[in-house]
Amino acid sequence: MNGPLLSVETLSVRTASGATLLRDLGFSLSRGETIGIVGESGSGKSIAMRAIMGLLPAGLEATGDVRLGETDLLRPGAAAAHRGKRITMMFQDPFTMLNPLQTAGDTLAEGLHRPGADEIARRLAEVGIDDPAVARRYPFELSGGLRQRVGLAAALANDPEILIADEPSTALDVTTQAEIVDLLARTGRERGMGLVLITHDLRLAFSACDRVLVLYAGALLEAGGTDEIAAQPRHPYTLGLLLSEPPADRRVKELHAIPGVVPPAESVLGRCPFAERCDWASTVCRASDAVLGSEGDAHRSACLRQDEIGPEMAERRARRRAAADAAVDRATGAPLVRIVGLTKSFGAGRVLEGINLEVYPGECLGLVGESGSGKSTIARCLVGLERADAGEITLDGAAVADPATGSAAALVDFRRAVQFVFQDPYATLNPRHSIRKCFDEILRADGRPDRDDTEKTALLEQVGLTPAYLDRRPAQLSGGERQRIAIARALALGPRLLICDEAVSALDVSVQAQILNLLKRLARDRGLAYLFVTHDLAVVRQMADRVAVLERGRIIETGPVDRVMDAPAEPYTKTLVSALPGRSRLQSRGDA
Amino acid sequence: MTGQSVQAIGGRIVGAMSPALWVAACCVLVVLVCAIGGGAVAPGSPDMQRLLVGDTPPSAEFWAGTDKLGRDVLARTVAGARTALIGPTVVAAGAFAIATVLGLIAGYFGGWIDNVIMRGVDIILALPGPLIAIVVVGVTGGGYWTAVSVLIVLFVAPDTRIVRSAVLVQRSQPYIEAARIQNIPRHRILFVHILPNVMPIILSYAVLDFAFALVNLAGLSFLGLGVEPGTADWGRMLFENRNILFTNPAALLLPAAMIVVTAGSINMLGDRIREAVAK
Repeated sequence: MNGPLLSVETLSVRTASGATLLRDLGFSLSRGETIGIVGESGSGKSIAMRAIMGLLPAGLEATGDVRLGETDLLRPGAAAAHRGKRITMMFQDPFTMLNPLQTAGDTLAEGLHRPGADEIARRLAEVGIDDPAVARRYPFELSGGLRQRVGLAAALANDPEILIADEPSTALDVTTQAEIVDLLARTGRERGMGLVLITHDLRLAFSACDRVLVLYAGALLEAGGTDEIAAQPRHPYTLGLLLSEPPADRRVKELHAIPGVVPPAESVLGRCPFAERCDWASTVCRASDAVLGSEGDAHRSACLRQDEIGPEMAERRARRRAAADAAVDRATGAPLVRIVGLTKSFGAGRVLEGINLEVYPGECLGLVGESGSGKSTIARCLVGLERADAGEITLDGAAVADPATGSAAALVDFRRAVQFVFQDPYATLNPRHSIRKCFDEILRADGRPDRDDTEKTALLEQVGLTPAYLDRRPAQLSGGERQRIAIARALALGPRLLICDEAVSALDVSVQAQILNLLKRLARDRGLAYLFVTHDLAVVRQMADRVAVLERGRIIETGPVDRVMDAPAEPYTKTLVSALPGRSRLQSRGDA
Repeated sequence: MTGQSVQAIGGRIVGAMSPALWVAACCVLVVLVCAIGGGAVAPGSPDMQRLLVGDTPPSAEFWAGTDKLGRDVLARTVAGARTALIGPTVVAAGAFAIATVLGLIAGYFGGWIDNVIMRGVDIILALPGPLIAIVVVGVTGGGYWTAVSVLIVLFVAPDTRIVRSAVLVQRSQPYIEAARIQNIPRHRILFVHILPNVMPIILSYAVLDFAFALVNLAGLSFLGLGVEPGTADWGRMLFENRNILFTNPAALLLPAAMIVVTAGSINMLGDRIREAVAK
């Protein structure tokens, strides 16, 4: 067959009231090709794919030209007729994708033309499952990675021409992430299938895709071959994204953060969507539209000033690459908090087995492990959200009888010294309370009522927000702003140790860099110590002075961050470090 | 369903209502006007007896005819709206007031307190509700307020379950955990953080309670266990007028229709509110 498998032109999505969510997207996909559609939340990447699949939520309308071979997919009913057959989709969450009452084999058999044990085994083998027993298992008996593989096999059951994978590895552990993305890319090539990989992670797209499209606020800003973009991004936003990714192989003094947040597509019509956040924006950027109508053959950027600023962008990137910082070993003197022999079971399952840990004043201890390793449980036991079965926690050398079982007074004092920042900035603030009310409640409970707002204003200033935020409610804040408020709230009791439980993993990369820089500054200014719980080794590299690696409830390795990550002693740590997304390929290619 | 403003929920209730829902809302409004207006709205006195006239079919003077004692059926139906609304309101409010306290305590504290409360709930739920109501009200000699009290006790059980499960959902929300870590006192967490966030659910189920209570109280009145004899009450009218079905069908059908229409309308509105809250 000649011509592209899928060709998209001037694809726009609007709400019923006429607000634009996506405008004039164009690209094409050929046999055996993998393209990456990269963007942060609000970029319109998922909306675009849903429009192509005919899966837009009620109230949204797609216009433009989407052709699957000769078929116009935007014609009513056309997408539904081909969906799941010629063109199919794979979702982020492997836990909800499969019917819990069907075995993996049944799920597969549903889509196959000639279902049979042999065929099912062959299909499972194609996605790297060699154990035929998996076919008889139910989703809850499978790990996240296995589920995602079964999901892939089910998506491939009808031998589709095109597979759209929406953040297929985001919900998985690092070690599995790399495998799944490699598997997708390989399967696409072997089958001559067109693969669209939707992701927020530029480096992941670089590692797996032939071409990359960068979307921002509903518009295409840069498109081209992976090698060209990786070698020299020509849009300031792409450069910003690349620089905000914390590098995993070394520590930088300060991460590059793009100020502000992604604006709604509707608000940036008629000018460069990125102008508000761009260091190089000039009047021309705010006066005329600057989006790419469609992807061409060559590397293209929507930036109006790309010729003028190209050298400056290249220079900024080179400077970043050189800027390195050394981790300091602060693990001296008496520990601030010491955990001895912490043990915890949920039902019959042992989650923590005799954890020993010390956090020293002013140091950042990274606690690393995959999901299920027990890292969050340690953090939660520390502040009394979970009760440990056994073990001792001391603060400044004095025993805090297990905080959960200890007296209320001991807990209250302990929490003045040790505070907590949660992962999900959308759920940690009471949606009904203004920021003022939230802060007032804490200060009053602490016996320090703040009538003239001085204390509250100071708290906001520490996290880089103006006093105007006092009267806002959580719903009026972006994810990054909410996380700043959550940090300010944790600081209200004047803690010496802040436990950050995946505190930046729900944020977009550009915002994540802002928050990490803020946390670094707070550590410098206040001598704050951190227990940084995360699955993301690149973040640990930037933040931690020491690292403790957790595997199935045991701490298997502890040491200075550079030693553990550059020369891991344990095989498990080696696996973790080598599984960083696209690490090997990127080292030579585009790592900022 | 966390943290929606009352305005947002209100918007979803009224926004794009189907014609059927508008009809239901109008019916409820009419009943409400009758209940508040009472004698002022009624076409005549609901209690005046005209023994010489007796049981007559609908006429120009009495649109729904008269009952055996010659009382105006339409006037009695209008007047009956009051007992039809007051009792169920008290039942729904009373049951949820108690259930909210029990559900908050059981859901938030857990452990043995939860066990004690919920096993009590299980016991009440294991009893055949309507039968218990008949027996208790019958043995104690009946009366409207006795019936209301018994229904409150019976309704507390399922309502406590609803509140408790809503509290459990809120309790594990990170913002509640955050408040606990922040040393916020327990009573504030319960009443300032959790209660307002479960309130929409409570209110929507309270509306459904109201409809159930209306039907139950009418049933008890029909059995002679509800209101005092002589009171204008829809259930009572069914009982009194069942023998004149063929001479003046309106005397029976009008109050029966009112019970069905009122309970049905409120049920529809309650469903709508619940959907709006669940979004």
